[in-house]
Amino acid sequence: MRRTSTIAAIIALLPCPSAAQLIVHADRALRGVPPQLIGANLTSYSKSGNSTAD
Amino acid sequence: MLPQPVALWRTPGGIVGDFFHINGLYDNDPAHFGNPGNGVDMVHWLKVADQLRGGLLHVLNINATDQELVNEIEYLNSPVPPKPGADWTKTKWRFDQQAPEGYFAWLRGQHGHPAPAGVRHVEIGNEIWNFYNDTDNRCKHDATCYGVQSAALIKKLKAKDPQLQVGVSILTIGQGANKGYRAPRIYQGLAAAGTYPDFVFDHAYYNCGYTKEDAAQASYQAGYADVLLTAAATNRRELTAAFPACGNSIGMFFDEFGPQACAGNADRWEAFGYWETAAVAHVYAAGLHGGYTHVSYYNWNDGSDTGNDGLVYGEPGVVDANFWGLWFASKFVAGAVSEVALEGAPAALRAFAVSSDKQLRVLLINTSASAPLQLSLSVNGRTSTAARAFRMDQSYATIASAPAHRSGVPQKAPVASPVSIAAFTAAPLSTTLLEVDLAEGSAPRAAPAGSGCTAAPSRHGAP
Repeated sequence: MRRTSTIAAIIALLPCPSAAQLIVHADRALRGVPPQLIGANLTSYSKSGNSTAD
Repeated sequence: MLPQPVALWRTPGGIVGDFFHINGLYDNDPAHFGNPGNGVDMVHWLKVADQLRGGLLHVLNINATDQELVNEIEYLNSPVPPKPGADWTKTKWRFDQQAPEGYFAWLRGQHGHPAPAGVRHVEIGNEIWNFYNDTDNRCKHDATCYGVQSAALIKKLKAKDPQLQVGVSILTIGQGANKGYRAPRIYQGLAAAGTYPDFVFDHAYYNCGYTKEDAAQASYQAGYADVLLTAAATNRRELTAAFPACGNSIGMFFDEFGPQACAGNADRWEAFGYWETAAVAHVYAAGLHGGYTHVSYYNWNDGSDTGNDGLVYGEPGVVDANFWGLWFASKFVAGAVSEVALEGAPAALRAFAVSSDKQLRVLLINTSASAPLQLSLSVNGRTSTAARAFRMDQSYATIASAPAHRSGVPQKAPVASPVSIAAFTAAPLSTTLLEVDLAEGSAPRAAPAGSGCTAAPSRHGAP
């Protein structure tokens, strides 16, 4: 019983791995999000014409 | 499936753009211009865009004549004339010939698309710097020539459609591929002609120089997008030097990237591992952070199990791990107004934040292949009320063992799970999106980068 309590006390005193503190400044704008930011290529099948979906 | 739909689809995309003609012929030999196309013609692309509800970012064939490219713009964007010529037929004039005004718009109508497509973005050639593909018969990859030619062409294209946004091919990130191809040499020709590009576009891939598919390579790919920050700064500096009145508002596109596998060709490790999700999401977010206007994933490399490529078309409905990077990026910016400041990220973490009036989103990429990160997040300037996390599933693969087929990649979007932002963990090579609800208030506003120059609206006069 005493041994268990001692181990628990030691564990409680051990330092936790420190977490990195991220801070978001929600009131500080860096830039607007461009409306056309997200793009993708429709590529590769055009030269052989092997599209399967249309 | 994407929370924020793809705004621009690049067509024909890649190298094939420099072979394309509007009838679907992919061949630059004039002796073959009478041959039929392969069916993937311009009206095909217009119908695809209609189906996908996105705009087109269309690559103009650098080897075509100016006349052909002006015809192409008419085909895309001009209204069908109310009174077509009595003798007009679908084969009366070839795609590169001078025809009566409105003929090519009429031809589009004859091809089943009478409404103008309203394509707003075109690019002059694909990768003009690229000797490897050796597809530039116009300037033979010479930047100075390309600048002069582009200046003249821009004026002709804008005379046909003043709303058109025209981009030129630069090389900043992979400058080693053609050391003589310097953007300022391109800009010189444009500035001398009293014009400028509406946007510039660059490409780069994150596998060249590596031959092993291991933890170091996965970490490298997840962190690859760091290069965008220095590239953006270089581009902006060179644009403002060449075009003092407009350089700050010219758009910057990064519209081809991905795991190209220079040493080993396309393979499943680069298509199906969750580290690719991290890499792709990072590129989009870093592009935003660097001041890019548009970022576009190149879908060349996801067909290892089929021999067929395609984010959309290779295996319809079956997505790879790169797609989920696009998904995270899309979820990150959907409805967001501004990127907001974030500090405190440890060395291995890439962290970006955006805000709408009601929500903050934070995208986190742990570039370490071995160490989980213990993290805590606090919000300054607004009050957070609740938070949840979306995480890419990492249980389906290991660095030593990627799935053999696309169907081995998770096919359902990540679902939200509650998270305490005071203490949470980011696994090695993980992609995490935090959604933080905000109490009443509004997001700070700022102008998007490269939103267009208005300093000299009349600079594109008739040729």
